Amino acid sequence: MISVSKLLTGLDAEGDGLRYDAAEESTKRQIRDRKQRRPVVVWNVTKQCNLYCDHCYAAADTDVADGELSTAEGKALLDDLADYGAPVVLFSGGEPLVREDLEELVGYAADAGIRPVLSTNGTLLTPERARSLRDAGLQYAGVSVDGLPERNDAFRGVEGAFEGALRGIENCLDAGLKTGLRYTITERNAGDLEGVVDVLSDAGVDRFCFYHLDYGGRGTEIVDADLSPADRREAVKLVCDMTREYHARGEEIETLLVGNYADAAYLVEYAREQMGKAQARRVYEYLRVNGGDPTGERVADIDYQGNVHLTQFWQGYSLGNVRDRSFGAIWEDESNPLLGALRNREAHLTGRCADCRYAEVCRGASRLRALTVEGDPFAPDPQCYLTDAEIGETTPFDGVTSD
Amino acid sequence: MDILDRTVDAPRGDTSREWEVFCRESESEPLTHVGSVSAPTAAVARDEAATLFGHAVTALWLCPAEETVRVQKRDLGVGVTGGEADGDAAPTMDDGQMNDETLRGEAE
Repeated sequence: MISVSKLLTGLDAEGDGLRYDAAEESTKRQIRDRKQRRPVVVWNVTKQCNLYCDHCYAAADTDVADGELSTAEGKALLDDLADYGAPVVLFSGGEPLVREDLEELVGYAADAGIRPVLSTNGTLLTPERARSLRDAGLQYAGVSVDGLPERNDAFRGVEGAFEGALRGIENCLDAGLKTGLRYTITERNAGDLEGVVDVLSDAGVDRFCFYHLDYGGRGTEIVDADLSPADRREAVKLVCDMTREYHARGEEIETLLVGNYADAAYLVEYAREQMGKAQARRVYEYLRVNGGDPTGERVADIDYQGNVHLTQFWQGYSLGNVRDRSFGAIWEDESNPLLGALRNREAHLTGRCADCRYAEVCRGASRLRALTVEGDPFAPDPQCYLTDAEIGETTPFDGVTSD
Repeated sequence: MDILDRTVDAPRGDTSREWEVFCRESESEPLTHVGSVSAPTAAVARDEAATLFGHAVTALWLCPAEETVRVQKRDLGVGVTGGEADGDAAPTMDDGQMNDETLRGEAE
């Protein structure tokens, strides 16, 4: 997760402590110390969902799946995560609000010292649920919208889903709950991006997360609808330009890019071209601390049956199951040769990634896209949009080297 | 003496079968459990496991997760026969409730 607003405008936001070790320079509440080195854990509390989105990585549907962790198991899992020092648990799905014990689990996480946040399609966020989640201790709700009304509803399989999500967002804001957008950029909806930001910023939203499509779950079925590398570059430039324009007129929105660490290199190149070498160097230093693609390191996923995954998108392979073994024991077990190799991926990356001068801020970007398209978890990410000239020189800056 | 009296029998894998994967990095080493892959058939599971681990191992064994008997001391809850909360299930909405509660932009 790369904060464009932090890197290009200096916006101070919660989360910078996790992303850039920047807690000390922040005035916002930050996660510090041991927890900075533990992964953010996505927990898919259910596979059930009231919508049917084309790109759902969890392949969710309206049916209840067998083997979902019960309330008691969920609390035991949260104790386990707290013992391990997980800083954040992201309640996701399916649609997590179909679980009637969601507030109980959110409250349990908060009491255990884990920051509870939510990923939702927003259409079950009634005023009552928004207030009860706030009262339980929820810290943030990220609501998925993937286009203006017509396109979003087609994507999500239910007419009225856009308006429902907008009402859910308004209900959260009315309850005083920090709320943001989650937007997965594809060829189908790239043209709606600015319009959605305009509509939601008018509604009071000030945090916008833009996801690149990863190739897991039903996402593998719409790879053809993904952006071309050239169009992706344009979309990322649009996010950068838009962020600076909003800030220039005094609207301090927070913008983030997720799911393609080629963006890290692009942001350095963008800063160098638009803002000068000194700013580019600052951007690079933040991104070097950020550490590139987090797969298997700074993000983890636990699905509704307790299977532990390398990221939430990579559901086809599980490292183990929390019903058998604690999360920490699974996550720390580098006798697993894949986990070990991913954490030492510099020694394994091939092709243009092997000699890329931005390797330490990107680390090969999505290993899942490489696996899905190339059949090799260490091949270059097929959605790298950097030019050979951009990646070809020996170091991004004279005097800047990795520790 | 602790007893291995917990049997983990909750399902894992829903849209596809789940296959437990064991690998041996060299001929002198024991087989090690390295997780599981989702695949509809043994042949696909073998290919997926080989893609993920082929760079590092000399042998792969795969076993259908539902055919694997797991007994242990650890008890996370109802996924475990013999656990204290045995019998509970995750409380989720039914279809009718989901449909009724879904916001679609209509007036309150």
